[in-house]
Order: sequence, then structure tokens, then C-alpha cells
Amino acid sequence: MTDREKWVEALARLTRKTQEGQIRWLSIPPEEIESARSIGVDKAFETTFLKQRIRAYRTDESLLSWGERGRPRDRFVIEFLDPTGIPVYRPPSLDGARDLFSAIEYQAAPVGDFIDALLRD
Amino acid sequence: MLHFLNSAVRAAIAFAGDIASLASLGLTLLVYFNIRKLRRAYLFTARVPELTEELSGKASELFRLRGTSAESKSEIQVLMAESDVLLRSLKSKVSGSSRVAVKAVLLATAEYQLNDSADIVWRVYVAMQKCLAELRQTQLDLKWDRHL
Repeated sequence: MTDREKWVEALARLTRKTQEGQIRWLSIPPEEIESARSIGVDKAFETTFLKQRIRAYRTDESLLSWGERGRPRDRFVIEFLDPTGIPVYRPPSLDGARDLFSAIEYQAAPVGDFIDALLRD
Repeated sequence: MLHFLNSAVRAAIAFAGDIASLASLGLTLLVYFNIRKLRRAYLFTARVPELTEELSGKASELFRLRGTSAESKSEIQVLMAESDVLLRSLKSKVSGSSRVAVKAVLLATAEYQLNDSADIVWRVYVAMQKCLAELRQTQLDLKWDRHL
């Protein structure tokens, strides 16, 4: 299995565990991310799983000034942090990051539990 | 003597003709493989990015539908059938490791026809993600190939 395939599997597991509620994500203010202003961070979340701090955020170009727009940048970013909160590893950008982010958003949204309860009713 | 020379010349001409035939066969094959490569590259550039986006959308939809309710199951069945058509179209346009990745998803979707459990749905989703990673990588490589 190549490194990329391993990361695809790992990301899929993170996504699955998030969807099943085994990993709980907390919303954090985008300002906590050092480069938030220069890359236009829209929403950010953080979790600790197996003693590893993980951060996920979404960027939005409309938050940037006209001069900074149009540069290629990742829309969904996953980062591994050290215990002090400094990013130490950013895995390759993958399509699955969007699904992880949507699972996180669903979990973090106050209506998520309500919708689940309503569907079970 | 003249007759001998004539036959020697004839043999030499025949030999040169054989060599030329072999060379032209080699050139024909070279042109054929180059045209095939160009055709694949053209098809890849023209259609594969679009199909990759479609596959990405299908994977996200599959992830959203992943569940056990009967309603979701019928929606997943429709999605699997649509993905199957999409993957077959992709398979005809890619080669190498991308083709292997597409075949792996097709195998997973075929497995779903025999067993529609949530685990198999998840396996299809993961295979789709691996295939997407492979296709994105090939697209990047091709971009560099055009610059060189």
C-alpha cells in the first residue's frame, strides 16, 4: 500500500468515526490559526484522537481582499498538531477531506442531534 | 559472371527491401503507439477531469446515504448503478495505475450486487476515494508532461 493509499484509508476512518460519533470535534475560532487571515479561514474544528491533536478547517476565498484572490489553495485542510498546537504535518489534499468536513459540520451543528432524533422517531 | 553479379545485386536489393519493410513496420508501430498515446492523453485531458468531478460527487453522495434504512438502500442501489456506468466510461479512457484503481472500484461495486451490507458500501466509498486520489495524481503528472 502506498503512502497516499494509507492516508486515504486513514482519512476514511477519521470520517467514519466522526460520522459514528466516536470522534468528537470542537469548533474553534478561525483566528487561532496563525495564517487564518492570509488564507481566509471560514470555519475551523479541532479534536484529539489517540493522543493526537488534529485540526480541520475550510477556507473561503470571498473572505480575502481582491488582491489575494485567485491563488491556488486547498479548500479543506487537515493538520496534525504537536501538544503546543503548532502544525507538524499536513497530509496530501484529498477529495475525502470534503466529506470529513461535512461530517464534522453535521456533528458540530446544534441541529444535527435533533435531525437524527427526528429520523429515528 | 554477369549473371552471378545480377543475382548478387538482386539478393542485395531483396535484402535491402526486407530491411526497409521491417523498418517501416517498426515505424508504423511507433506511429500507432504514439497516436494511441496522444489519443489517450487528449481523451484524458478532455473528459477525465469532468468524470473525476462526477465520481467525487457520487462518493460524497454515497457517504451521505450510508445507512441502513430501506429508503437509503434503494437510493444507494441507484447511485451504485450510476457509478458503475461512470466507472466503465473512465476505464476506457485511462491506463496504468489509474486503470487498476478504477477496476478496484468496479470490483467493489460488483461485490455490492452480491452483498448490500453497510460494510460493503463503506468499502466501495474507500475504493472510490483511492481511485480519486490516483486520478488527481495522474492529472497533475499529465500537466507536468505537457510543460516538458
